[in-house]
Amino acid sequence: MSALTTPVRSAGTVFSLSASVGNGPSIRSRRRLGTYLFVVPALVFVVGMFWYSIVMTVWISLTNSNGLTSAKFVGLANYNAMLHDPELLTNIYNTLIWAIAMIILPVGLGLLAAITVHRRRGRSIFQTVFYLPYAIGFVTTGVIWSFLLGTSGFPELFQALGLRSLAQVQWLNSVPLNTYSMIVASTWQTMGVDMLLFFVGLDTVDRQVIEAASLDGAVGWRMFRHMTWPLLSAMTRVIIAISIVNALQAFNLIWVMTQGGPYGSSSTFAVWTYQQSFQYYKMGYGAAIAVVLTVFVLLASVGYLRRSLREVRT
Amino acid sequence: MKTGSAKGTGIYVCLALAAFLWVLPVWWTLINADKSSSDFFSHPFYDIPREFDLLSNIATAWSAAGLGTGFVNSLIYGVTGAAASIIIASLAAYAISVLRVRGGFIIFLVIFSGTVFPLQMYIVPLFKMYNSLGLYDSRLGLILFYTAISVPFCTLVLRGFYTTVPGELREAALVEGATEVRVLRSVYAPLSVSACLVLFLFQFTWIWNDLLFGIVLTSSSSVRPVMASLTSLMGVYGGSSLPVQLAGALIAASPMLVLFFGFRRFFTEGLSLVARRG
Repeated sequence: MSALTTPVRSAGTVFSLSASVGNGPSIRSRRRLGTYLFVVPALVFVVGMFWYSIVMTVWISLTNSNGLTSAKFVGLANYNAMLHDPELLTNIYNTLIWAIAMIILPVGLGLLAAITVHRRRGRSIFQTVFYLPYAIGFVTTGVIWSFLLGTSGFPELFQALGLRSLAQVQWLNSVPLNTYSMIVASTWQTMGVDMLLFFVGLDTVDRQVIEAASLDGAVGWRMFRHMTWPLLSAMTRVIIAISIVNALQAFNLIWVMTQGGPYGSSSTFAVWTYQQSFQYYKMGYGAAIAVVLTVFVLLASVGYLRRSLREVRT
Repeated sequence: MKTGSAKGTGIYVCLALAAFLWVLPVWWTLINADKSSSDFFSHPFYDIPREFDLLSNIATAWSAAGLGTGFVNSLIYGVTGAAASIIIASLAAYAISVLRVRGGFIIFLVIFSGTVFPLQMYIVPLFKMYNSLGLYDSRLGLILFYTAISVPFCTLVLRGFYTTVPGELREAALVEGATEVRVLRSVYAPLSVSACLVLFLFQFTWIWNDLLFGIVLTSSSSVRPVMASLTSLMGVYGGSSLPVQLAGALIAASPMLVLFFGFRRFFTEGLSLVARRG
């Protein structure tokens, strides 16, 4: 089929085809201009909202905008202030912890679950159970885990189990436990989707290759190390890239569970931006934090973006 | 499986244990959403409810903190945002991959990369823009935003999909005198129904779960989407009792659960779309 369609599908042939049917050149060029109308709505939305915002955020980060009085250009003052802000280190630390933990925990557990459950009887039950938390969403997860980690949750359970010291723990109010607790909640939520993505990867791995390897005596760890893992590497890279980018922007769960508190101790860059911009109305400062966050995200995803661009182009 | 049943059993025990751990939070949510607040406060949370109060908790949560309004709002935002973005994206994708407009790849890049930045890059300017245009705290404003945020991914997927449609179909239609819009509507659109359904589910889910823009672009509970209302349900001010909060969480999660169990195949397909995006 491809041999038949490819030559006809190229734009030039299409136009010569319509010309031979009787369209004059004027109609052709009018039609050509008309085709740009198709992309106008999408461009208006994306450029008008997002590209505009990106440029404006960079600009606002160079002003002392506070949403009330008119903003003045202050140069790099916001960035300079950020360097001397004691909250900077906490936010960098928490953001990094989130990024590292979200690569290791949900991705690692998701891979483990995918390999264990794949082609095993009962796969659909385990798939449903592990994916369920993802289906209910971040905010709902936050509500559930705020309850479980609060005073009428796990502490009661540990008390009943006779684990006095564990029952005293304030999971969401002590540092650094609050961040770790939220990472556990986040792992509970996102492991299932990573598992499903690995399923997609495993399904595309040629079954015959695996069977041939197992006939050659490759089992267990050797099978994984030399066959499954290399074959999954493309999918693994994608999942890790998505996880890093998502973790660097972690907002919803933190906002629901601690709002970055107490005293900013569990804040991340994403929470910090929101807080400075919309709770303290220091929008210039908030924008500067967003710009720094963007630099992190772009650095983390540059290789991934470059590869996906190459794929899109072909 | 031939490697010995003891090992197989061991794996099943581990899996069952993990599955049990994964289900526990959901189970605790379900039983505590059933409890009256006196039952909840006088007995530990892991106890089975003594009375069945789920419906009254759901009713309380529905009317408290505008959760019911938020639910309806988010249905509106999800349906209109996802549908509008698919229409807009299919136009763009058609021009780029079928009509091959000049500079199409650049146009595609501009559309696609508009949303690869962290969402925090958009909040302050959008807040200001919405204020000056009178879109702040309006349903229209949120619909426009949710449409816009969904356009890039839809364009990416549909652009890829349209290249798989044989060009003869379009040429035959053109020869018969159809316009390009007509070709898109009666040749390409019917062929891409399942891709569009996957996109619809995905964008609806994204919009339904959004919290950030719900709290940035709105302030009144009559406009707020469901997740923003759910957060204010557990807020310090006007915070409701835990059983009511959990009932609210169930309300907010229910459409997602319906979609997940009803369209499971589409979710898996959608996931492979996301993965292929990378």
